[in-house]
Amino acid sequence: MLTAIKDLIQYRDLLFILAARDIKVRYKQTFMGIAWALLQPLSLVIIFTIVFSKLARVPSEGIPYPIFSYCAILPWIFFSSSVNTGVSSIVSNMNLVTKIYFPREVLPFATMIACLFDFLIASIIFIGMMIFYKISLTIYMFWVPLIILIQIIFTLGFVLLSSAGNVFFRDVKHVMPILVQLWMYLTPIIYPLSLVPEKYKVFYMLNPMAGIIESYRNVILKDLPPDYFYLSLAFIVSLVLFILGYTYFKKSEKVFADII
Amino acid sequence: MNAIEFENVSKKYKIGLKKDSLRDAIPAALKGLFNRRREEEGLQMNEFWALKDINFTIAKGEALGIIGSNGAGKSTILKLLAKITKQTKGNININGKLSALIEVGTGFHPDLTGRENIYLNGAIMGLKKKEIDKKFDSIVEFSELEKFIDTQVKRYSSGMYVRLGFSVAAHIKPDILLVDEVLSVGDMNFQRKCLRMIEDLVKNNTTIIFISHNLDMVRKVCSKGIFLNKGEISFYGKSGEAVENYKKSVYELNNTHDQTGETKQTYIKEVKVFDANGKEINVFSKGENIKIRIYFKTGNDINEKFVFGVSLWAFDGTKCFGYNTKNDGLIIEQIKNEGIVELELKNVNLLSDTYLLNVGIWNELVTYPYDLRNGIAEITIKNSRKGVGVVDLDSEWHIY
Repeated sequence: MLTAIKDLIQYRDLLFILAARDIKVRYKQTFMGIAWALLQPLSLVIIFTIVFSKLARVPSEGIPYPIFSYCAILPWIFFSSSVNTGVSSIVSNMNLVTKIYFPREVLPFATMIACLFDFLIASIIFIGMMIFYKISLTIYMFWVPLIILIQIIFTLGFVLLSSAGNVFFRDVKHVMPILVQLWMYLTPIIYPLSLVPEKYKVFYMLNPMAGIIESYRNVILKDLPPDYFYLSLAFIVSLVLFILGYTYFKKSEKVFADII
Repeated sequence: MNAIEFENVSKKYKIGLKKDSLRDAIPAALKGLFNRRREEEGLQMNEFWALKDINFTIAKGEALGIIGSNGAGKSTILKLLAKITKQTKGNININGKLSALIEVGTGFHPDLTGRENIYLNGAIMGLKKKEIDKKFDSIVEFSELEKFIDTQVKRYSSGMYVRLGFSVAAHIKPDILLVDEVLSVGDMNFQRKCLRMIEDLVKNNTTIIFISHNLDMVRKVCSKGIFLNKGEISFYGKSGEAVENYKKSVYELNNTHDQTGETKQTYIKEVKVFDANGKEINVFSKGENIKIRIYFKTGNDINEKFVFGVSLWAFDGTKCFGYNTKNDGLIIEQIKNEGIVELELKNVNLLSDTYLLNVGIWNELVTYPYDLRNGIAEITIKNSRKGVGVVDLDSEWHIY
């Protein structure tokens, strides 16, 4: 494990150059360019506001629905795009994996950094919305970087596991979009957590993304501290998954070039 | 200190029957539960040894050539060294920073510009961004692509692509360099550049492992050679001897192969080079006569009117000439058993260099070779005149 970290530090330049490659390539030869990073979450907010707030009358705990949902959509897209692109990060770089040695985890990590970049770009709109809806800054907002960190640990663990699995079974790649779709409905994104019946809540909160998303809402929109129990639970689950994912990845990376 | 040590290294591969989807894997896993086996020992039906009990050591600054036919395991050795794949058994020790030139331009992204790809490719090869910054200008200069450096590489010609890839690779300066057949791509000019770079590296105490089908290059560049045959070391020693062993085995293989057919081999037994007085040498001065004698044996192809061909090549791949008996108006009627054909070159006006002879025996239409021997003999020419190219024409300067 220690040598793996040392190896990774030695290859950190590769990590950032690969991430830059992913970002550049994604928006090259597009007319809208980087604006796509804004348009994707924005269009979701508009659709969700019309369908769930106006038509289905989903409550939003007294917060204007557009910012209520955007606060969750933003980190959710960060998660879902990391998972959907990360799962094939090893397989789609087959030409590198079979020809050159470098720590393989650089590949999923780099796709994650590229998605983080989009996430930060799309946050600009969120700041605009906060001004528009007159959301005042609070002391609890200092929690945001920590929550992002927990989300990153969880996502990395999940991506390490799925990208390595995808080398052996391409089924993983096909399952992922369906799983992510389902997962979104099991996370308080289009509806508030208060809508979940109390007796199911413990199971519901085993999903770290639920704890993470709810924490964002608490500290940014509701002027509340995060629910310490649920956030710690999310952190522990994330950490366990990360360690599992990393171990599995390092164990299976030795045969990537033979199997791929 | 040894740069590389291989101790009883073996590598097993699976062929075919890959379990790519869960539908195949689940029954296989269940089956595996009931009949467990030791992973390392023995072979399953669909497995084979790509390498078997390989032992060798290379000292620092040595150049080792690995030769052998396709599928002998040459690339597997490089992949093990480059840590791309892992051995099934045995130990591999590597001392020093290792860099692999397995394919020029690995990791280039077509949508990125030449400039961006230099950074990407360099980083993949293990360079830090700062190191690439420092070397950037000289990389671009070496590739001769200054004008196109901000063009996407998908607009490049394949030659430009290779040049850029090689430029990056040439600037890495590792302790150990693995080179796999990359020198076979690109034009003459490019090959010469590659070769010069490898020579420089050898001089600078870089350890080199060189895989090539170009036997003469192996002999020239490397001091030691390994001849691999079906995953096992068939010969390990001086590179020249390894090349000879390989040639002999290929030749024997052809022979045994043909014995199963209807006709018995027609082949070149040997080629010798003599001077005007009939003395066997291979170093000549400019203007001397050179006699090239082909000793051959014919098989049962008694109705064939054989055509004999000789061509001479400079080491960098420049062809000096190629003649055959048919083009020169010589009709050879049926030959039985064995004989000698001689080509006498008169007043040889070539520049100083070592040249290689290719000799062949062809069918009457010159469409099928009975035997073709590339680099079967060497001729070294000593010439006081300096010049570029191969031929030394009688010439002088005049100033008016």
